[in-house]
Amino acid sequence: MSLETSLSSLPLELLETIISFVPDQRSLASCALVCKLWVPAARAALFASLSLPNHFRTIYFLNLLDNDTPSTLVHARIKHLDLSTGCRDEVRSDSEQIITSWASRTPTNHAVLHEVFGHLTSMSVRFTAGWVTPKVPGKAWYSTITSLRLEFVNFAGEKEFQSLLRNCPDLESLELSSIGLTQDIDLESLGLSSNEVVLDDIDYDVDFPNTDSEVNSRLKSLSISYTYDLATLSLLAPFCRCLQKFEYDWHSQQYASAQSLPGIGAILHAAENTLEELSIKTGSWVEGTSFHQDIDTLFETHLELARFSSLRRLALDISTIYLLRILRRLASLLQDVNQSLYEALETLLPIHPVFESLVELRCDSDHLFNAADFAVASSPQFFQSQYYLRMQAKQANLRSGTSPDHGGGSQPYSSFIPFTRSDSVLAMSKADAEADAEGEAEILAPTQFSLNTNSPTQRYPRPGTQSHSRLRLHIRKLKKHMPLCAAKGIRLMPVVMYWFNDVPTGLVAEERMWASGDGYAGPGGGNWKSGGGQDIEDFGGIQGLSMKGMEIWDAGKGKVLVATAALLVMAMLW
Amino acid sequence: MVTLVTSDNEKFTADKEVAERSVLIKNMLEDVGESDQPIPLPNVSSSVLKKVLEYCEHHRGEPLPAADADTTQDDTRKRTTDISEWDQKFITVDQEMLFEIILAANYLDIKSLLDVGCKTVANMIKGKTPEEIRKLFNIVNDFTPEEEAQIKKENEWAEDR
Repeated sequence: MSLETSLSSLPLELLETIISFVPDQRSLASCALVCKLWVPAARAALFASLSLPNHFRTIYFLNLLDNDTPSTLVHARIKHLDLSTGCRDEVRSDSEQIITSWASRTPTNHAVLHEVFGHLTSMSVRFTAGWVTPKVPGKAWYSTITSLRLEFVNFAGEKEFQSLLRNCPDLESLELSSIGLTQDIDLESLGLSSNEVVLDDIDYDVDFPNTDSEVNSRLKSLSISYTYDLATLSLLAPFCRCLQKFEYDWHSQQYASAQSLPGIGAILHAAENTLEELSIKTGSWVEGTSFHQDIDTLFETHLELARFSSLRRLALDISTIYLLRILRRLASLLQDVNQSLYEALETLLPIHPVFESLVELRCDSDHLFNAADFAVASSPQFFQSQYYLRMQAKQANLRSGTSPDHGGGSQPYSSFIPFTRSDSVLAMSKADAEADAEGEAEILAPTQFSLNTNSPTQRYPRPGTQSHSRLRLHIRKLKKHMPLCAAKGIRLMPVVMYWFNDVPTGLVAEERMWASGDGYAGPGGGNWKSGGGQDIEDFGGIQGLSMKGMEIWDAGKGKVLVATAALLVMAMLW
Repeated sequence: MVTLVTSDNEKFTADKEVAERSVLIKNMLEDVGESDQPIPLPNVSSSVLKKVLEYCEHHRGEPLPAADADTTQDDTRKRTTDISEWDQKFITVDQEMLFEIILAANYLDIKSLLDVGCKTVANMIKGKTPEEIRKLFNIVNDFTPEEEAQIKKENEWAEDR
């Protein structure tokens, strides 16, 4: 052989770059069989993200590791592990449990597993009936993860849950949805060792000791939904000392929801010094005075804004009457309870120091619209195509002759996923802005209302329609009644939400609205509830208060939440 | 104008703008300051530098990737194996030249050219069996039968999802 430059003469890093460009899985599988030198790069490209959706795959996976010939999976540097089973039926096939017990069988197993998962940064788990943490604390095979998402996961007692958190010392982001703690289970009788780590008894109500210095958590972002258990929430509090972002969503679940409040309080208390973003959402469906009074109390005891020195964003989705009260408390102003919302806001917002940096006020204005106007007004692609998908799903249901409540019906519902958004800031059309400019001082410059600048889709009702004139009236009213806000340059943002008529919970739209966060851009669409004919005096609820300096919510994160919401609702439909 | 000297002692002159598509050269020029001194490129031969300069000339004026954008762009970069028509023609060379260009692009730190080169090799690999890949690049199979069997088993498992 001459000194010709060939593939073999390239440095290893370049070989890795080349293999990372190999587009399809089958070719990557071939790459691993070329020669030993190629194995690490080929495995890393093929298994960067590993999914074990059922116990068959999990067991097979472990069998691959359990071999005289070392598995090449140890070279894969697996970054993401997905243990989400497809549906509830497979709950009993807990992949996590299978892996953990396999690891504890022999020291070799343990070592191999740590090698295979030594680079793991994120893990998501859906449907697990009993989470079992490894016996040795800090030695869990997933201990390197920084991001964890759990949905429909049950823990056999507080200790298991606590031990999971302790086993992930690098955890920065935690998403919990439908987490359950099964209390009073005798772990020994199940053949599981109870973990050594025991927290001092936490006083759930008032006093949350800061003395718990042994908890050294890096948790920065915590998102909780469908989880109301006080014990679970309280267990989280000690891990929240450097929390920056906290979202809690009651999902309008009336039952037992108020009992979670002290837990929220504990988390807030722990995160007092570091919290930057807080989103509390009860949904406007929640009824029951006591719940809202409890929320009020929560704010009274735990949400004095002056104490949250780092808070940059506060999003409250709470029924209007209670929200007003809370806002007043936040501003430490005693206002006449009978004031209308906008009057109160007009008084409160511009003058009080707490709201000094308020730049935007979002008002729910979906009641101003009727569906027909909107359908015509919307640009074709997104809106119609998504609506079309919905219709298709329905027809598929009819054709198969099964009711959506039964097995066959669940499939078409999956086509709901293309709905990506439910709210939309109204785009003021240019012509309108010009027409309006002749009137009073302009609060609403067209640019403030435009969606994604690249997007031709402008969700603004066609001139001449009922919705159109309602919106203009609405904006005029805002201007007229809130001159101080206007003078301070606070943007008033009408926001429209869509509801899905035939999704029983209404949660889809709701969650998505929040998932989309501050990102106004993007396609809206879907079915809606027409609220036409209501009194246009009604201002609806405030959707959120955005504080200046607030960064726009991470779009990627938003998407994650959207996906979660869609899945949760689907699960509920079953 | 910048003067570059190749490993085989040939001198090339190029516009500063063109030469500076190489981060290495750009940094060198910044370090040296205003100077007419030729820049030695001991790792690049004249035939390869000619190609590289041709590439830089064609792409002059295009925005350079930000130095810190590597990680964020990585994903989108990897997803597409598309190569523009001009680049495709440019990179249609024999294997030896292809790898020489890749090495030079790596040494001179010209990311876009490195990507074009690596994508081209990746496209050559695409759809081939291990044996075909070995033949293509003159690689010797150094697996034991047991190792090969294990990898095949793993591949089957990976495919069967």
